Amino acid sequence: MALTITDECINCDACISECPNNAIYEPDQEWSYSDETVLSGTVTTPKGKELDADAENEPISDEFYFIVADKCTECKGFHDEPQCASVCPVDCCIPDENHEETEEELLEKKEWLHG
Amino acid sequence: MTKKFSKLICDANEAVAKVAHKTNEVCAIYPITPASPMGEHVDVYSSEGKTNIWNNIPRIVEMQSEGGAAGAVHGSLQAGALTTTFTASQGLLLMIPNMYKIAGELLPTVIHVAARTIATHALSIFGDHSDVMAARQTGFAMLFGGSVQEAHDFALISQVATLRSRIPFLNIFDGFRTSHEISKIDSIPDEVIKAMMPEDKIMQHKKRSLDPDSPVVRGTSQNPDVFFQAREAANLHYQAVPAIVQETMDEFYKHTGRRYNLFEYEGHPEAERVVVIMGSGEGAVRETVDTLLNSDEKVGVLIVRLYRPFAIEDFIEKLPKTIKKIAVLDRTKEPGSTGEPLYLDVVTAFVESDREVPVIVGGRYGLSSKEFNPAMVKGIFDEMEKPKPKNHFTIGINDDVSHTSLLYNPIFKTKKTTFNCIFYGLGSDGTVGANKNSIKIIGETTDNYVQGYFVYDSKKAGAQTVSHLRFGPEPIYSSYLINTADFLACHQFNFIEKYDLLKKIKKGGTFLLNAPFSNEEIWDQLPKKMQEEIVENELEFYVVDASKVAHETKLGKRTNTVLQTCFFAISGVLPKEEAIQKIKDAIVKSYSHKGEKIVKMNFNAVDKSLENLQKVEYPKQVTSDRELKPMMTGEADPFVKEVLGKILSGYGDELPVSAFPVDGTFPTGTTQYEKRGIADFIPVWEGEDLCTQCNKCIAICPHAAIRAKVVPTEDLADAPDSLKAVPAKGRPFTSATDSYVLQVSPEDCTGCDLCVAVCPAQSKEIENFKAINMRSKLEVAEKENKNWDYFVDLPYYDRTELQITNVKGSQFLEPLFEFSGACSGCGETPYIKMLTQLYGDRILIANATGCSSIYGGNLPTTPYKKNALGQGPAWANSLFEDNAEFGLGMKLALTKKEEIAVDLLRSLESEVGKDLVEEIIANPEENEIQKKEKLTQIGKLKSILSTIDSDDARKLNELSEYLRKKGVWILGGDGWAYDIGYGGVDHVLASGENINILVMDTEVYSNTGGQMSKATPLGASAKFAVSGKRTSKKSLALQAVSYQNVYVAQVAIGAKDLQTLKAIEEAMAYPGPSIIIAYSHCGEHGYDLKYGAAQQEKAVNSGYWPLFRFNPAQPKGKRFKLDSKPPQIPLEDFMYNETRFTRVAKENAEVGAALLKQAQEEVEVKWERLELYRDM
Repeated sequence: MALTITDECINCDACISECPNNAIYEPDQEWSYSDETVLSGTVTTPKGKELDADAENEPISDEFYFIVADKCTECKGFHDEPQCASVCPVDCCIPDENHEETEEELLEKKEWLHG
Repeated sequence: MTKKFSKLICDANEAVAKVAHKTNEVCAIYPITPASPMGEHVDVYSSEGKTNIWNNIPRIVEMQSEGGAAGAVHGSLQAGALTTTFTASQGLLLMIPNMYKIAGELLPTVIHVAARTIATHALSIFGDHSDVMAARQTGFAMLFGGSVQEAHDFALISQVATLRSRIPFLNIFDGFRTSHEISKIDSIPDEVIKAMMPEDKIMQHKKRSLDPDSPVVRGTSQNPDVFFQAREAANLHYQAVPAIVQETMDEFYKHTGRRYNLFEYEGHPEAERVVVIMGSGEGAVRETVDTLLNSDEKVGVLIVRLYRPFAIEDFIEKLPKTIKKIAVLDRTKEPGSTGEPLYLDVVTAFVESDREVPVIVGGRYGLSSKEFNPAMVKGIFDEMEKPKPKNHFTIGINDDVSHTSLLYNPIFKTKKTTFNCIFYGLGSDGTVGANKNSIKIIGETTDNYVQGYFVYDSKKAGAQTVSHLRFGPEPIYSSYLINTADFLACHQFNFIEKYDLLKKIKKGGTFLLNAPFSNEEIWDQLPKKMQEEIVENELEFYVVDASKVAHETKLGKRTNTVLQTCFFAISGVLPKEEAIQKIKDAIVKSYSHKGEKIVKMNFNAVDKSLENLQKVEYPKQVTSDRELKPMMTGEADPFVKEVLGKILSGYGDELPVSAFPVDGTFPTGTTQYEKRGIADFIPVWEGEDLCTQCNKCIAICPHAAIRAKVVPTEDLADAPDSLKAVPAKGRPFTSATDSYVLQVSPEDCTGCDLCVAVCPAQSKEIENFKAINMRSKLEVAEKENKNWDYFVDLPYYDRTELQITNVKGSQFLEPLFEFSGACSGCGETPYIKMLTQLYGDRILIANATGCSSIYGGNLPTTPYKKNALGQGPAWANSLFEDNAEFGLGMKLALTKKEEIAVDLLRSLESEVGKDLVEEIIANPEENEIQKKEKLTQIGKLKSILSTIDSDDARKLNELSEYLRKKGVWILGGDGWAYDIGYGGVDHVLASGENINILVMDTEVYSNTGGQMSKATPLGASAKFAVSGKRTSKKSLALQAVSYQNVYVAQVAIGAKDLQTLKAIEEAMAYPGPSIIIAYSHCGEHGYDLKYGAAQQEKAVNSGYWPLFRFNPAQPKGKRFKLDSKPPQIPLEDFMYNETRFTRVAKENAEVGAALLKQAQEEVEVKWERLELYRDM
C-alpha cells in the first residue's frame, strides 16, 4: 500500500528529498505524474486509468506535505523500508489504508513511473 | 510644628493615586510611562472595593488613547462628576485640545502628570518639563512638587483649589526622579481630606452640570463680534487663583503642620546670587545652598510651586532686595525662543515690578533625567560670580559645538547626612525587589527616613539595575544619584569584568561581592582596577556565594534573601543583631500564612547566609594585571566604537555634543558588536545525526542567535575541530558535497529554551535527548564561541536557489534583524526576523512606539542590519498613535520616487536603449531571480548613464536605486493597532495603497507593563483590569476582511510556521493593503516562555486563535482560507496554563468559572461565524 502523511505533520521538509518517486509535495503545491518520472503526455495507469501525465493537479493538502498515492511505491525497488517514514521526526508517514497494494503491484507501479 | 501622621513608604505615583482615588468619582485612564502606575493603583483600589471619602467606589475606565481619556474627562466633568486622569509626555500633548475646552468652560479637575520628555530627535521615557511646558498656554493652573511628599500633598491642595477656583489644575512632579522614587512620607488622613474638600463647591459643580431638568447649551460657536469679549470674561477667575492656592496651602498647614507657599525662598536673607527652579531639582539646589551658607556665601534658592497663573507680586516679594544676579533653571528646551519659559517669566516679572532688574540668566539642565547634582549647582553659583555670567547656558553636559555649557567641578559635595548604599544587579535577579523590601523593613520599624531610586538600563532582557538607597534621621531631599556610597554590593559576579563598580564608594566603605569563590580565592579573580580601588580606599571587603547558599537552603535561584541578609549584617545601617531580628520578623510577616515549614526554610537561609559571609583579608598591593573587558567586539567603524562603545561601557554622560548626529540618524546593525552573554544555559547541537535539518529552531529563535548554513564540505577544511557539520539534506543541496552546519552564538543567546522546545528530533533511544539540548554555558562557551566566530564568516547560500516557499528554505536566508534587546523568549521578534529574511533588503519599516520600537531602536546598539551588498531595512519610529499614517506617507514617497525615476528613464530611452528601459520597467521583482536581474539591469544602466553628458542622466544616476521595487511594512503591537492607532490603521487599510501591516498581538500593552487593550481576551487579568476583562477581544482581522480589498491573515508562528511564512509572502505580493495579525506570546501572559510555541498551538487547537488568510487576489469562492481546524481541545486547556487567566479564578472561583464558560461559548460563536466566510 502507499503511504500517507497525517495531520501530525510539522512541515519539516525532511521527507521530500528522501522520496525516490517524487511522490511527496509541499503543502499547496500543484503536482503532476510527469514530475521526475518517465511519464509524459497521455498515459494509462497500471490500473487502466487514462490520464494526462503533464497536467498540473490540485494540491492534495494545503496545510501539510502530502503523498500522491499513484506515485508512491513504499520505496519498493529502491529501499528496504519507506524512506519518508524512516526520517519523519514525528512518525506521521503511515500506510494509507485507502490504497492497499501488493508487492507486485508496487513494483509494477515503479516500472510504470521509471521504466 | 509638624503633626504626627502615619507614615507611608511609597513612590510619588502611589502617593498621588491614593489622594486622587479618595477625591474623585471617575478616573479615565490610559497607560504611559512613567505615569501608568497611578492608573494601575486606582484600578486596584476600586477593584478591591476601596471607596473615596464619600463611601463610593470610583469608576475607572480605560480609554483608547490619552485623547480619548481627555474627552471622557471633559464629558464626565460636564455631566457633573468629580473626574481625574493621569498622564505624561505625548499623552499630555494628546490631551491639549480638550484641556483648552475644559479650562475655557471653567471645569474643575486635576490632571496628575509625571513629567516626561517629549520625543524630538529621539524618544525618551525619562523626566523633564518639555511636556508640561507645552501645555502651559491651555489655561490650566500648574502646581509643581519637588518630592514624593510634595506630590502627595499637592494632589490634595490642587484638588481643593480647582474646586474653589473653577480653574483646572495640573499636579506636576518629575517623571522617574519623583514618580518612581520610594520615600518615607507623612500621609494625609481621610479626616484631613474630608475637612479640606469644599462640599459647597462640589455641590455647585454638580449643580452646573448638564441636566435635562435644567438644560443649558455649552460649546457653542461664536463669531468675530463676540468671541474675543467672551474669551476675556473669565479673567477674574484666573486672578483669584494664587490667593486661593495660598489659602488652601495655609489651611493644609493648619491640618498637617506642613507649610507650603506659592514661592518658597531659602537661603541668605541678604543673598546676592539666587537660583530659581521648580520640580525635583530643588532638592539638589537646597542642599547646595545649605552647604554654601555654611561658608558665608550670600546665596539662595527660590522654588516655584505655582507656575500658572504666575503670581508676579508674590514672586518678587519672596526675593531678598539684595539680589544682584539670578540664574533661572528650566528643565526643557525651546529652540528658537528668546529663552526657556521660566526664564522669560522671571524676566517679565522683574520688568513689570517696581524692583530694579538684576542680572538674569537662564539655563537648561536635566533634560531626559540627565543627572542634576550639587556639583552642577555649585558650578552655576560660581558662574554667577563672574561679571558677565553666561546666559542661555547648559549644565551637566559638555557642549563643544555651540559652547553653551558651564564648567563645574564634579568633586564638590554637600554635607552628607545619610547612610548611602548602591547595589548592582540584573533586571530579573531580585535585587530591586530585595532593596524595596529592605527599605520597607528599615522605614517601617525604625525612625529612619528612607529613599530608594532604581536605575534600569533599557534592555528588556538582562538589564542592569543600579539601586540607590539612602537612610537617615531627617527627611531626605537628595534628588540625585548617590556619589559617595558607604556600602556597595555587586550581586552579579560577571559585572566585575565589565564595569568600574567601585568608583563611587567612600574611603573605608564596605563592599559585598556575590561570587562563586571563597575569601581566600577571590582576590586573584579580581581585575586590576577593582583591586586598586579596594586597596586605595581601604575597603571592608566581603564575599558570599549566594547561589550556593540559596541552592543549599532550597531557595532555588532566589538569591535575594541571602544577599539581603548579608547587607543587613555588614552594612551598619542598623546594629547587626537588631537588623537580623528585623529580617526574621519580616519573614514571619510575609510567610507565616504559608506555614511553619516555609518560615523555617527562610530562617535557615538567613542563618546559612551569615555562616557563608566571609571577610576578605587582602594584600596591601595590587596583584592583578587584568584590564576590564571591552564592551564591544569586532571591527566596527569609529563612530560605533567611540560613541556607541562609550555608551555601552557606561560612559555616555561623558560624550560631548559634537559626538552626536544633528538629526537623530544612526547606523544600523550595531548589536553584532555588543556581546552581552546573559544566558546561563545555551542550546548545543549534539544530536547532529538525529537532526532533520528542519530549521524550526531557527524560525522560532527570538534573537537570531541560532542559525544554519549550507556550504561546500571542502570549504570547511579550515574549520575548528569542534565545529560540527553533516551532509546537507533536501533541495537544492547535494548531500555528497554540501554540509549543513547549525550553530549558536553563546554570547547573543538569551537562553530562552524555545528552540529546544520546538525541536522535533527527539531521540528514540535516549530520554530527553534531542538534536539540540540546553547545556551549561560555562562548560561549552569557549568551544562554541570559537565555532560561532568561524561560522559567521561562512557565506550564506545563494538566495536564488533556495526553496524559500517552505520554512526550512527560508531559514537559510540571512536575518537582517539580530540580537535585539527583546525579552528572552519574546514572541514578537520571530515574525520580524522572518520578514527581514525574506524582504529585509528592500523594505522601509514604520514602527509604532512600543516594545518593538524599543528593542528595534534603543541606543546604544540596534538590531536591524545590512546584508553583504549594504542593503537592509530602513527603520523609523514616529509616535505611538500615528504609525499607520507614518507608513502610508513613506509609501506615497516611494511611489513618487519610482515615478520620477521611471519618467527620467523613459526620457532617456534613446540614449540608454529601448530594450534595457523596457527590461527595467517590466521587471516586477517578484522573486529572488528577478530581483537579482534587476540589480544587474540597474548596474548596466548606471554604467551607460555615466557616459551621457546631460542633467537628466546625472540625476537618474543619482536616483537609480529608486528603480528597485521597495515595500513598506508598518509594525506595531496591539495597543497601537487595536486602540490608539486604530483610526489610522483603518484609514490606511481603506486607502487601497500597497502597504503591509504587521500587528504583533501580545493582547496587552506589553511595553508599559501589561495594561489591558482591546486585544486582551475575555477573562484575562491585566493591569487596568486586574479582576479580569469582562468584554471580548475584537477581531481586527475580520474587521479588515470586511473591506474586501484588503489582504488579511491571522497567524501564529509557534502553531504553524508555514502559514506565517505564506502570509508574509502573500501580503508582500498583494498589490493593495495587507494586514497580518500575529499571535505573540509574552512574559505578561505569566508562564515560562519556553512553552511559548506549545501555548500558541493550544491557542489554535482550542479554537481561540483561528488561523486564516483572506486573499482578494484569489477568485471569488477561494479568497478565504481557514488554516486551522475547529476546536479540538477545551479552551480551559489553553487558558489555564497562563497566570493571566488563572489569577482571576484564583481570586474569585465563581467569577473565573463564569468567565471561562462565557469564553468557551464565544469560541463556538466565533467558529460559527467563520464558517460563513468559507465561501467568500
